[in-house]
Amino acid sequence: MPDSPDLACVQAAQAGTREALDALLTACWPDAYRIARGILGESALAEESAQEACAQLVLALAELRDPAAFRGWFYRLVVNAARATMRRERRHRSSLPLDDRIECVDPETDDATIDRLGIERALLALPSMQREAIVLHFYADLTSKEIARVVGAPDGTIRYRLFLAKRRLRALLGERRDAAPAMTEVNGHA
Amino acid sequence: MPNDTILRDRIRGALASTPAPSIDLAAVHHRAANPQRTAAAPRGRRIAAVALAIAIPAVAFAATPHSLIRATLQHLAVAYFGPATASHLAGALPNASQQRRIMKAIEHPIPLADAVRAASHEFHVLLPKRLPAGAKVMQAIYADETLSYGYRLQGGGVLDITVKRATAENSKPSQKLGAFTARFSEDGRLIRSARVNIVRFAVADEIIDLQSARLSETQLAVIGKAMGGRELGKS
Repeated sequence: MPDSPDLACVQAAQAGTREALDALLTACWPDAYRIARGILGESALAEESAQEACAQLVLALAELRDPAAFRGWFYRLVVNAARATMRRERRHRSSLPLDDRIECVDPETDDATIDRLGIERALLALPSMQREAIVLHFYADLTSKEIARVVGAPDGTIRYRLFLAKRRLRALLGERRDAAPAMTEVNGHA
Repeated sequence: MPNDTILRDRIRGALASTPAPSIDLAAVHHRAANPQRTAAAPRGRRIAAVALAIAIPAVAFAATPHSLIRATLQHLAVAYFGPATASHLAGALPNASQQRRIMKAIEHPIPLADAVRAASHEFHVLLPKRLPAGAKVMQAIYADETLSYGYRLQGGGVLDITVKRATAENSKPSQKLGAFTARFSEDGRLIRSARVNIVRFAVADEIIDLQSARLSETQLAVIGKAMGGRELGKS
């Protein structure tokens, strides 16, 4: 589970201390970026989205009534920002699906990086709702009920999305660590 | 029911090992203080601003030489759009750090010719936002309303992109081809064409909308030749 900012940090930020707010933002940033990256699949978009989520945090933190619920609340901001970024990108960009984008991997890249890129591509092969669910479940370690609250969908829907996502990922990635998917396999075309 | 542990570990490991850039706190606070910034900007200006935003961070991926191209490109953007337009565009940018970069380039202009010479390249302010991993910029040539640039891929081959400005003469959809990508073998043989992302950008008030296309090898070769494109290794 990613490190969560402690309660005192959230409360201090809510009290209006600029230093505490900056500390909170700094603590939240890596999670926001990585979740957005998992959902959006691209660093520039993820950074944009994470920045938007952090800006929303600054704007709305005072309205958070229960500081103990900060984590789920912040993840909701991250997911909403990622969704908004995705919508904006769809309008301005290609109608092509994400997995049609061209990628090449440097043959000298280390295995861990290749594995990471393979997993990112496999995530991109999922529908966005399933991607959100799987990232929140596996990376943020949220239960289906918690994810349901974050994304605003029924628990049963989330469980079904997770089921479908896991099944697809298993097909794409295999269960073995050395079974990184071929590009064509993930993209669904030869 | 299969055990989730391996899948969970792999996905968590992949995301957790993704390097996160450092947070730009000033940009976050600026953004929080100006929440309606992009929504208030006219659509044309927003598109132009996005184009500008695309042009600037993209050079972080370019290879030769990083710092020089990055610095020069910001000045090129200002030189191309002009300080007044660039200033307006910068104001419409949603990202405060991007705004600062533009404003800095406006405040400290250098002549366009010097910028080009300093970069040792003839290139334009347009670069794609998304590049293949490990891609290195090879060349960029702008002539007769056609921009060509290529990226040498570390995995072998070249991603070659040619952009033609949409004009009254070539505004029919079939002629509105703007960008294509191609993969070449290391010995310069065209392997296959590929689908491309739509590239949308604006120059001053003119919005240039490039269409996605999937071309056959023959079409690609003909168009590439007509556009004066070069194949791999024929630099």
